[in-house]
Amino acid sequence: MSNNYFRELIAKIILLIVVWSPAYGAENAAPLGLSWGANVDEVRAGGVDLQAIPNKEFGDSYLAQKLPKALSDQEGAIISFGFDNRLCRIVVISRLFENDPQGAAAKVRYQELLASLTEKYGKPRSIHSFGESTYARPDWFTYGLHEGKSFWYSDFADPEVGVQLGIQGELSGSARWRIFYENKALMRSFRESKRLKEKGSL
Amino acid sequence: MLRILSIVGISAALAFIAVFLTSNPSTQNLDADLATIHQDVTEAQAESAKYSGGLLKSFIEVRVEVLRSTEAMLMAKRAALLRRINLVYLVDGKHVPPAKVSDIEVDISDAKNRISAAEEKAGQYSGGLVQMLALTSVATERVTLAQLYLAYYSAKYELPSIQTFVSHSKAIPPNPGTVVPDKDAL
Repeated sequence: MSNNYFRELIAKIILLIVVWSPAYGAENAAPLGLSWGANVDEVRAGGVDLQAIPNKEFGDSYLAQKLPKALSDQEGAIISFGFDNRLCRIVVISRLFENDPQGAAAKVRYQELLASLTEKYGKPRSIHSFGESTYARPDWFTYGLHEGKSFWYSDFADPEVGVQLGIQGELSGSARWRIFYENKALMRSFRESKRLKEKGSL
Repeated sequence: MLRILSIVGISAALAFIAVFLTSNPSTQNLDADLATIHQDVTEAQAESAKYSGGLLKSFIEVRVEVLRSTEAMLMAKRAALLRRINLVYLVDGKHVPPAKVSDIEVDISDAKNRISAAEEKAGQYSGGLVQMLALTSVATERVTLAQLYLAYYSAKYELPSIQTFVSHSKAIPPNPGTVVPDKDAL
């Protein structure tokens, strides 16, 4: 047996150890029990129900249900695989907090999630501001958010994953919390391939 | 002889009137309803063609199939009327009473209001997850409306009742997944 054979064998063993090690899994662990970089088939194999959506802003995207992990008041999650079939973006959105123009219930939940996310991703940069004039009134909170006059969100500066927690308002005086997760390395790759794709089609 | 012929002629005319002009419902009513349903099918198919796949398309396809069932049912009724065939439906040896038309009309009106509200909500967004959820809600309500039309025409023309089917045809609840503590999911 040649030295090359042994070298290849050792390399394969090392690769297997790395892939099977808990550290490797933890490194790729994404929210909701998903894994960053997983392809559509792998996600489906985990029992997740994926329904394609027409919006291709972040490549092939799906409404994901029956996720391995979900938040108690989560209504939906959209997960995106870019153009190279690798999970790079997750958006989680809550159920509607109805008839709450001041956003009281949504703010309470926001604070709970903020505390949990801070524990995991460190201290965020938060923007909590009301709009001017009428939008400064507490009972116009959700309307101000809807109109883009008021802002209520927090950005977390994790080196691997971009995270933003926020509240969005609706005209009906209702609100939802939502969280954006973006794997920075995979999103960089996606943006580059998107740029090349757009350049090629011009 | 002339008298006998006159009696036979009058009898034939009366029989014709009894058979073809007093049928309830009339084929004219049926034709009008068929045209309405056919138009709905065409619109739903055009809407379905806008999507290449996904959740919304699957909802629209369900709607198309329900509307087609209604269309097929009305066509069968029309053929039965023209050929004077009496349609009787039995389930487990019992007569199935049709649902009340007036009750279904109320449900149809409610469903239309819900569709208008859902469309208005979807129109507030130009894209993103919330619009997707709102459009899904519109599609779900339209499926419900199509099912209500099926029930309505069943009741109107005394065709098999699908009361049980309709009463369980609520919007599909979202199933985000296994709920775990916040820290585990985040």
